[in-house]
Amino acid sequence: MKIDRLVKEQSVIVCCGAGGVGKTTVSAALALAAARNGRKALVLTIDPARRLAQALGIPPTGHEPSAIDHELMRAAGIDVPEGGELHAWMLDPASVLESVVDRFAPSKEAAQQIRDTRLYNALKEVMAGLQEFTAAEALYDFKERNVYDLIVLDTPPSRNALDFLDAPRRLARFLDERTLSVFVPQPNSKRSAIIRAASKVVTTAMSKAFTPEFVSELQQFLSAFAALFGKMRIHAKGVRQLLQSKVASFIVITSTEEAAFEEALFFDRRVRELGLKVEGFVLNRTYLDSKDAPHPDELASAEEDNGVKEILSKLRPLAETEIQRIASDEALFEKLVSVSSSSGGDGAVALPYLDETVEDLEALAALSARILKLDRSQAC
Amino acid sequence: MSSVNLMSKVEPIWSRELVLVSGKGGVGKTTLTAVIGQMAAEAGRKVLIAEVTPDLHTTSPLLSHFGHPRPRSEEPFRISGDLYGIRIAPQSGHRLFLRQALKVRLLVDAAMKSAALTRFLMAAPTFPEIGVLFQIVHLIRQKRFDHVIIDLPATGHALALASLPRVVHRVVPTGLIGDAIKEGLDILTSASRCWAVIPTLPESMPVTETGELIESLHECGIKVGAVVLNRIPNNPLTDAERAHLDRWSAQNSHGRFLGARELVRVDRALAAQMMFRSGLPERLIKYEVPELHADRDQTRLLRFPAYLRKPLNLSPTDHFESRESSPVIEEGQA
Repeated sequence: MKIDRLVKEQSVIVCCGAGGVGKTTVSAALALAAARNGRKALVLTIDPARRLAQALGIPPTGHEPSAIDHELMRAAGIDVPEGGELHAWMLDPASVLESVVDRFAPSKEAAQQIRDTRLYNALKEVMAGLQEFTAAEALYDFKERNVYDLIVLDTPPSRNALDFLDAPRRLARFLDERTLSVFVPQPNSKRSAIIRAASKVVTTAMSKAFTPEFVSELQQFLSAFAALFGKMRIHAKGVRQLLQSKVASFIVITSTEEAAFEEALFFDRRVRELGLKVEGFVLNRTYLDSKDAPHPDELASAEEDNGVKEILSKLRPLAETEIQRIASDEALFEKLVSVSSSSGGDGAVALPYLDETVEDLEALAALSARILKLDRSQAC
Repeated sequence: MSSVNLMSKVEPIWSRELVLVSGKGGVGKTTLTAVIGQMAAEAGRKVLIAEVTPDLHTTSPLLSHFGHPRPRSEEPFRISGDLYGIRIAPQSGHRLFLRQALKVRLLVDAAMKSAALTRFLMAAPTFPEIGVLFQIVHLIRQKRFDHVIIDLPATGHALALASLPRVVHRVVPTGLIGDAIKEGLDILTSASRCWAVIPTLPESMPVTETGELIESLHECGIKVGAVVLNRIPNNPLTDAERAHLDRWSAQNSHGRFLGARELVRVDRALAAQMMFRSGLPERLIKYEVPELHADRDQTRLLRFPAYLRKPLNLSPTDHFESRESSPVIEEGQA
């Protein structure tokens, strides 16, 4: 996979994968690499690595992206050429929802009317299920405003990430007038007999389940929201088109953990089912760069100090573990390369298990430099 | 057994009607759920292990442990002896409450077939979670099981499920859903009926995040019963040997040798273990489980329970007594 090219030329990179595989770190490293190539890059993250965020000077919640200070970067030995900028934002579902209402409501009064409903406030409070809509919406918005050369989207952990891909479609379905007409009161003349019948069943069920007061409140809420639906539906389509277009690339990131790896393969299938293309895989935290490292026994045979000899002999089980890890990592890597090439992707790259967790700009810069050196289907 | 003695004993990890196994992905939640369920069943309890899934048509990681990768039933089914399993999907919860709301089964099936309704229920934020919660309440209400042990999805989801009842309850205080949610809230926040068990890994980030999760759950009124530090790597060297090795390494230019990386992992694990022992609240029951290398999952499942009988906070004599003998402890320690 030519990550180098993606970083220099692509306008949207979506990073997917299971939780805990280093997705956020890789996303940030890609955005940093773009900035070092003179591009204005934004990394959007939902599941932030807190300390990395702190090191970058990103506030935990904010209404908009913040730029990483050039002084900070220079202090960490990172040169950013003219025009290069790195921005980061931890997506805050509540503020994205606010801005959707503000931008789409036909008037200030209408926006206020929506904000006044109890349901809206409950919705804002409950983040569950909102993250995916938020990610899709934020991505589209930034793309539309054309502020950044590259947007790297770090998606929520895998199962939710599938929702993210499906979010535009789900939203479109939710906003489908036929679905809504069942809930939102409309003049009877406009409704077909089937809709009327369905509406009756649904209203009965909902009233019994939720109380009639709630159902009427829900209907009010949906009516108030209805003004926004048309525009939101256009967005839902837009996000899909954007993700299907050539300017967007999906990368699946995985660790060598069995569960994460299975998720990655599952994810690859799902992305393709949704009619989108996976550019390639990143296999993170491999031991592949230790392939030619000497065995402790070799070192011991050349050693005179008996104490050291004995200690080295105690490392045999660890060396054995690493030999097995290298072999299994190789197999995993080959598997990813073949999966990718059989589905028209561009292969895979492997990154090493790092001695230090990436928690500051220097470490991030080192990682991003390393990623850029990787060529097609190359390890470490 | 005197009552004084009982007081000093630590409660087994399954000792609540509802046990929520929660944490990030890849930390061993599913295995832990399986192990706890099996241990409780072997201790003579009637146990239901449950997995929350968005889709009943996929393979079940939890029930695969017991040879049921794709259970057909949406109801609890017997795995073996007193151990039962179920998958909880939002849709089954929705059907359940419609069934209770409408009484007439035909009407329910018609309603669930209405594409509009099912779409709405799955697409509207929080409705899937309500479906899951409704089903949990239903299972607890039935009182068929001594313990319901739930393998929850990733952290965000557990918290979502936990914080959901309050919000929804404010909006829908009464009615079938409102009542069920009120009941769910009561169960979740009753320290004597429900607790959370959180597995984590011996790395600094996961342990830090576990601390945050404990706080958030506490804010939602959910008791955290136990934390489990999973997959602790074996350290083959004493501190003196390690210091000796490091001095020698500094004087030689052999570069990275095989095993050096594993030593780094051991170092990280030791640091994380310190955080786990002293950085997380004292009142929690803490367990530590070594990395169990096994050819087959089954062997791992057999060796795992020994470590859940020995909480850290207590001296060896204080360990609670299990009704079964535990011949695997020695092997597990080896």
